[in-house]
Amino acid sequence: MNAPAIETTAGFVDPDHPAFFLHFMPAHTPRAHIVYLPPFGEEMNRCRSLAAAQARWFSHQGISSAILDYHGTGESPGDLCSTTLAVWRDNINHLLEQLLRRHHCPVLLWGFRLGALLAMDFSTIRPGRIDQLLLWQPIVSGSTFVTQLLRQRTATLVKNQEKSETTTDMKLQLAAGQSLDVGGYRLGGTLMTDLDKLEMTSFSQPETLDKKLSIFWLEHSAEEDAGLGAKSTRAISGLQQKGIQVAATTFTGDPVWQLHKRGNCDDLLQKTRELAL
Amino acid sequence: MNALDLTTKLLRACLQLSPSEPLSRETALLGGFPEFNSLTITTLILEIEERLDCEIADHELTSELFETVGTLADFIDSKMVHA
Repeated sequence: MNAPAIETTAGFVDPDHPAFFLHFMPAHTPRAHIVYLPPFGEEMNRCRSLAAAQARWFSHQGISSAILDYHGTGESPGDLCSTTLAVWRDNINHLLEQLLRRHHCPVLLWGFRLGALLAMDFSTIRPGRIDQLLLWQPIVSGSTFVTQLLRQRTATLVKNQEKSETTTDMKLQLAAGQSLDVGGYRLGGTLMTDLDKLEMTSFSQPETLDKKLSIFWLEHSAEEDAGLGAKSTRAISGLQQKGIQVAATTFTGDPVWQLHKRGNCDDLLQKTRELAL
Repeated sequence: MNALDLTTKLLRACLQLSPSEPLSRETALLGGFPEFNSLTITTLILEIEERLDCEIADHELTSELFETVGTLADFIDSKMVHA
């Protein structure tokens, strides 16, 4: 039997700072919308086909699914160097509004790596707007993320046996509004300084909120029976103490966001498909 | 798991090397593998930090550290002691 037909559309949202999206609409009225927030830089490209496969699967399950490229990244126009976190929040908001105008139903954000931190950020600045989060291999600290990104510049200098700069110096340059070339990307000071401030555990939701946020957290593990990493365990514990429901599990397979060659991670797709989304 | 075993395991994962690819303490890293670039170094450092729940400072990142499997294993061993 053939799978029910899905309608695929592509376009741009946010006239001020256009962002590309790809939307997979189920054949029948959707029971929810899910919006994919991708990782950053090279990781975004590496994860694209895995995310697209999962988005198509969601749409076949009756969930309208959309993939967003933030302004200045991927297929979106704009200059990465001059974009800001506020622009990316607007991109998410515009896409959600467009989806909700078409069908009013629950909304999930699905973030991969940096996208997970942005999903958490958005659900905090728009309390009650998001029903659930699906986080794949989340980045828990924006500061650590920016440091790791800048380390790529350090690593290039180390590899070329040139005089190294510290990531602290680089962060100071970014905070002063300068831009830096890192791994083939020109990074703007405003965006990096914005991202540096995001911390998974600093997010919260108003106590008066009727609709409490729940999170599905999937984290990579090299071995079948290994648990969550120490940093994630601490972050999840911090969120749970704030009354946020977190269901965490591990998956095995290729860490596709890290790999030079294309990899497979069927376990991540399978475990996501078993969740009660 | 000892430091050398962990080092080779991380390198095989990051460089997508097959189990049959020989790796010994003397195997050269920088200049030894075309894929051993700045992104690989960043990933390796991240993996070491995650696995050992430690922090690696900028000044610890030197070209000598990534000369061979052995120099990297010695560094990981020093981090395991403090983990």
